[in-house]
Amino acid sequence: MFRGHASRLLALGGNRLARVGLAGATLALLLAVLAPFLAPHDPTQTDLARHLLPPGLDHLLGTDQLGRDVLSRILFGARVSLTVALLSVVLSVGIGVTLGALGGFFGGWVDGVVMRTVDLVLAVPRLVLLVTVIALLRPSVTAIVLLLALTQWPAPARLIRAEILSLKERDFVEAARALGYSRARILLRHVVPNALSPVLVAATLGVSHTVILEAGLAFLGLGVPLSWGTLLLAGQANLITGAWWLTVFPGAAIALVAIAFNLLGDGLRDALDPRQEGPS
Amino acid sequence: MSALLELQELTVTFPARRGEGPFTAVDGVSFTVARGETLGIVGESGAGKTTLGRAALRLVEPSHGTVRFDGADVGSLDEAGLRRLRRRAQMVFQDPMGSLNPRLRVGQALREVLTVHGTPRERRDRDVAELLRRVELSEDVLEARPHELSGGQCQRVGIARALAVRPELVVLDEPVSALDVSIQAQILNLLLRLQSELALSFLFISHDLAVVHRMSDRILVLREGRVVEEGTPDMVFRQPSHPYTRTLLRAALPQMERG
Amino acid sequence: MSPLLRVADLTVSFPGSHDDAPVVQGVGLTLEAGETLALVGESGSGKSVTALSLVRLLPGAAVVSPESVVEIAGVLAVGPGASEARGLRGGTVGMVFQESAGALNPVRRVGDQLQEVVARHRGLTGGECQAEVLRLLGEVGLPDPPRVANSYAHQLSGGMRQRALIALALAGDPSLLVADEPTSALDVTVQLRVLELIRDLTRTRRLATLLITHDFSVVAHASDRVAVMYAGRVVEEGSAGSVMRNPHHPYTRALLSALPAGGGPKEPLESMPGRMPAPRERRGGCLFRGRCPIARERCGDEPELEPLGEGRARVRCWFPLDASP
Repeated sequence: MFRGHASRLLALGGNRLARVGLAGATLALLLAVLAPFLAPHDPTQTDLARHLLPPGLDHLLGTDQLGRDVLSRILFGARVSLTVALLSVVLSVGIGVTLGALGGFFGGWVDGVVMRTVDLVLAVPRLVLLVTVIALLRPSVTAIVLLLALTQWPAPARLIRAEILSLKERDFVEAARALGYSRARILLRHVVPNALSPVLVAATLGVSHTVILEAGLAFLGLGVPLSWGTLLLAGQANLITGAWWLTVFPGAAIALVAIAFNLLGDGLRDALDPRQEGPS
Repeated sequence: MSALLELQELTVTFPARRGEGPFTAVDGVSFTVARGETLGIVGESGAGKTTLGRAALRLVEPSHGTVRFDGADVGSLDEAGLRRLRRRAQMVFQDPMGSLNPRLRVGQALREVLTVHGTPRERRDRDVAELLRRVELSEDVLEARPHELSGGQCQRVGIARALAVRPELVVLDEPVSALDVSIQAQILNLLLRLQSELALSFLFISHDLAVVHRMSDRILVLREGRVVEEGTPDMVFRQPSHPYTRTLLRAALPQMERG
Repeated sequence: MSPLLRVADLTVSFPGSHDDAPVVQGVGLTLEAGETLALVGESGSGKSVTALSLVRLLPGAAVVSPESVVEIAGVLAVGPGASEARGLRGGTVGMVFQESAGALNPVRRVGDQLQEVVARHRGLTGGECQAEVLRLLGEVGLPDPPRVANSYAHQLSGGMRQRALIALALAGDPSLLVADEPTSALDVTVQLRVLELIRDLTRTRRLATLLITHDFSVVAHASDRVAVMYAGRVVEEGSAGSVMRNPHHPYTRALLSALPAGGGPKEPLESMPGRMPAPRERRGGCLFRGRCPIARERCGDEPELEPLGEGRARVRCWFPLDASP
């Protein structure tokens, strides 16, 4: 759907901060994908003889109370945290865009059903639901992703619905009707692509939001093993012993990824406006 | 000669909205447009001009009355019939840039019309080139998106898009109101030439009495959804029978006296 | 006596966006009290930028070149050592923009918005201030001023909102009124009455009124003199009636001939080819020569804006039309 926009997306309209964000986000993803090759140690290998070592040559970011290498754990943790964030965002945006677009475009009872469902989902206190269900199901990537997706789709749904409601009134959509285009063509080719920009921006910002949310869940004891949140929680217990590296490095990883996706999201907001593009 | 478009007692009422009652935009309007003829519709904002133009193409559903296109009742057309109507009756809009999808290049937008209406693939490029030639645009614009074009260029693309289906009737809804005087003259001339070359019928909607006078064979003056005056341009100008027409004329007068 | 408004050598550019090419170049105008000058031109002519630079309301990226001078009521508003502009706006200079929802604050009553200006610029308070607000609303021809003062913008019709905006412009008791397309958003019948109001106010209050418009019927209805702008320059300036009846610059002539009222039904219009050059395409010489039917070799040099004779129109053309008196 974004064919032809790829170059513009990558150029990010020459926005320097956004490029930093793109670089940061790409780096985080690369590190996560290549973790097995990059990690100097097995992240689960315990070695009590070498526990709580401060950062040094052997263990660049130190070791934890069981002697596991912190750098390796952060690299493998990136896989967990980013998988949770990306999958849940992709899923929630997928659900939200589909339902919101249908409701906004067709209106009437379709819209009624979609919006009442949105109200229903928003009426459930999300944190309570997450805590309860995860506690029952045992924390796992699948459970957290599904729960996050099922509770987060109303935001993109509302966003795209509002966009579509205003697009429907635009002359180019009226022109498409006058030209005898089918409703499916009008929706998929003329309406939705013009409504996606804010959703894509929101989704990018959603990734950073979810990374932080997952860390919060971990603090409630509901984190997936090895996720950054879980690492942070474990490190916290050792803060009094002076092992700062167990909290500072996972915390920094969370903060840097959140900042990177935030910068990228803000940059996309500018870059996706077709009027920002120079003559081609 | 039989009428190409015929409206009988057409009424369009929009349902009540929050805090407001139902609103009748068009109230019992009847007229005909013959083949090759331009019927000008003039009125101020809120007169119902735009709704009338859209109802004529069944982009808005009338609440009463009938629209006939080439003798057939437009109101009773099924999906397939409506599609055939879209090939014979087209529309050009007021906002030249806003009537084009901002994400589509000019070439894509024109090719899309041809694709949807079944022009064989091998003929599409040739037809697009022919359309550009008709509206006096160079092929350089094919790769441009609307925001890279001037208002006049956008409106030419809008006209080319409407012509792509080879229509017999074009509803022109304020086609030059958003354009500068010198560009307006270019577009009006283009429309006059296209009409004679392609034997088109126009429903020409405008708030500008001078423009409607210049472009039309007959004029309807619309006020609050009703026809208050009808006649040839010179009749309406020389002997306006309705006080409202006289007011409109007085407002436009210093400009009209020139030339 | 010096004129109320004097603009000389006004040159404005937007560095970066147009290769630094000026969008307004060397504009000179004068305007007396009690007189209306229409600045007329198509989009891109520089008329609005000219108006905005008088009161230094240009966007931040704009650069006014150092030789530019704007003098309002004897006070230097733009130029070396110019005074603070904020005192001018709403005070010495009243401004009316195209009527739109945004021109009046939607969440404040019309009367309150007027009171604020009256209080700030005139130092009136309490009952005096309120009385002045009602007087202003009456002066601009609004019926039932107390009711209008108590209304919000959305409760008024377009014509009434535009009158309220004019009252707001008058609240600071200005001597110069700048009206940028004040009637373009209105229906013709309403347009006419608002133009009559502006014309009357100009006479009765001895205002100097600068009217920015693209529409010659507005020029005809409301202005004494007209300056025609093309590609950032004034190309012709003279009394409104004579310029419209007998234009001397080929562009003015072409523009007037392109009006649809100049011929009968289904008659082709006299259209000029091409379009106005964008700032970066302006390459010296007469900028209209690419579209001009009488352009000659000499037009490669830029002509000055010269008077055709004592008390006659000024024209920027080497070969002005109908130049003999």
